[in-house]
Amino acid sequence: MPRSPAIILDHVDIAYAKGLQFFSSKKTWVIQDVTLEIEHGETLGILGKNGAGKSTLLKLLAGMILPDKGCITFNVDRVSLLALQVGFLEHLNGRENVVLSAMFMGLSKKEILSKMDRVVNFSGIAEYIDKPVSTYSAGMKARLGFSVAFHVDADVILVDEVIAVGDAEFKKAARLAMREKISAGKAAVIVSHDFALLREWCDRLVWLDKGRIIQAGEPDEVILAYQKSLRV
Amino acid sequence: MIKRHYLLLAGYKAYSDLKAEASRGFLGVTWWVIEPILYMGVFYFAFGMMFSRGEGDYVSFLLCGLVAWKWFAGSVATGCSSIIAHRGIIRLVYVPKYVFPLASMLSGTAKFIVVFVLLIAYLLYVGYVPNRSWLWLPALLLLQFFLALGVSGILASLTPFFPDLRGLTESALMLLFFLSGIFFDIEKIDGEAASWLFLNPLASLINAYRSILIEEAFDASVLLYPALISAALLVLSILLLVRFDRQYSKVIQ
Repeated sequence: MPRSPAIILDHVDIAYAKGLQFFSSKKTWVIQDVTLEIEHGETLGILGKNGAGKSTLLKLLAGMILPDKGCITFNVDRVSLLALQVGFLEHLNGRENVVLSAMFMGLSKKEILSKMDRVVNFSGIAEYIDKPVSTYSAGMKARLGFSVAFHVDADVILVDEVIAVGDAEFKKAARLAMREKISAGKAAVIVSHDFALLREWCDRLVWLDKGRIIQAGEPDEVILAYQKSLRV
Repeated sequence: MIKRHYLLLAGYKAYSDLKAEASRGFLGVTWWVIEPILYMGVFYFAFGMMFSRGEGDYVSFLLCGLVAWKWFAGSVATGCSSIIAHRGIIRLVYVPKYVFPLASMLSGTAKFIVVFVLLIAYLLYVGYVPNRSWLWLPALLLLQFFLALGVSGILASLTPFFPDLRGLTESALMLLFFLSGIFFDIEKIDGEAASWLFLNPLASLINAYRSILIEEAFDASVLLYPALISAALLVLSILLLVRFDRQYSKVIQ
């Protein structure tokens, strides 16, 4: 039986209000007439200049905002942005922050406690995990943040600019883990300017400009067309 | 409309905030006892010693009012900016926004309970004896909880659109402090003014605390009006928070 796509966007428009948000009728349309399907297990890359609407699209996919026109349909339970250190409180220890952060990302306390060992081991800061996060270096915080977000296990993972966390060694581990998760059949949407990475990771690319889809398809073709447009 | 997970999240967030607060300062948890005692000491000095007319037990009268007031004012002031204050989270994940005013209400309530126990201890110490009307206290506390939660929720839902509401809330609270009969007895005011002042549900609640705790003359029907107002405000706050739920991450920068 063919499954319906994980997420379906049907002629979606999104506007931001200008000035006083409550009454204003002046609107800036940051996403215009976007129709897109994200299949289960697919890795979709999004390409485009600053202000093209990439982050807004991710917010829409994460369920943080609703379309102003058109509609979006989710056929999965959990879609989440790979966001680091959500809700972290400086004066709590590592473990407590892991629980708090994971609960904000939608996990029950029981679920995250059952994953605690894996989260701590992956972060590589096991010896500091019972110390307050305020004593951590920025790199350590980022490692722990990544580790929690990574273990949330959403059905569709959204990544805004690929993880440049911690030292070279951790960066490598983080990328490898992401890569494994994606090849294991998790759907992902990745926003990046790194052509090599997009080519290597993605099944399909979407090129976004001024809120519209300019081109969608094979990574090589889309990157070529995008690069051409930059040279003009 | 409201999911169990997010109620648990609000509870865990409140617990985390309290824990973080306690481990921050040198005094930690003891500060939750010392700070309200200092606060009430100031008012005791200002109103109790300078304005006391020597009739009845003014100190107990004043403390009942202040304890209830501090819970309300503290919750509303922090509840008002609870959504704005968590913009970092709202930008990154979808969380139903009622979590934030609810969490701040819960942590404010935990601190209030410490103070309330102190108040009861003081009243017992000076010779008040618990009687049957004290059984109404849980209902009264619950009512005030929902009143403050409703007001906080409404303010929290609107503040991201109108940041000036935070300043307005401060001034409104100041005005309310003088209108709620905290250091005077509204019932002793002559004429129509008293019935106008009792339109403020907080004034009715504060009056009810006193009737129960120190006057031994409590008529539960006075809770009906504040109960209706609290329910209406709570429903309105939920409607607003749900209505604007997925707009905040656009508005908050």
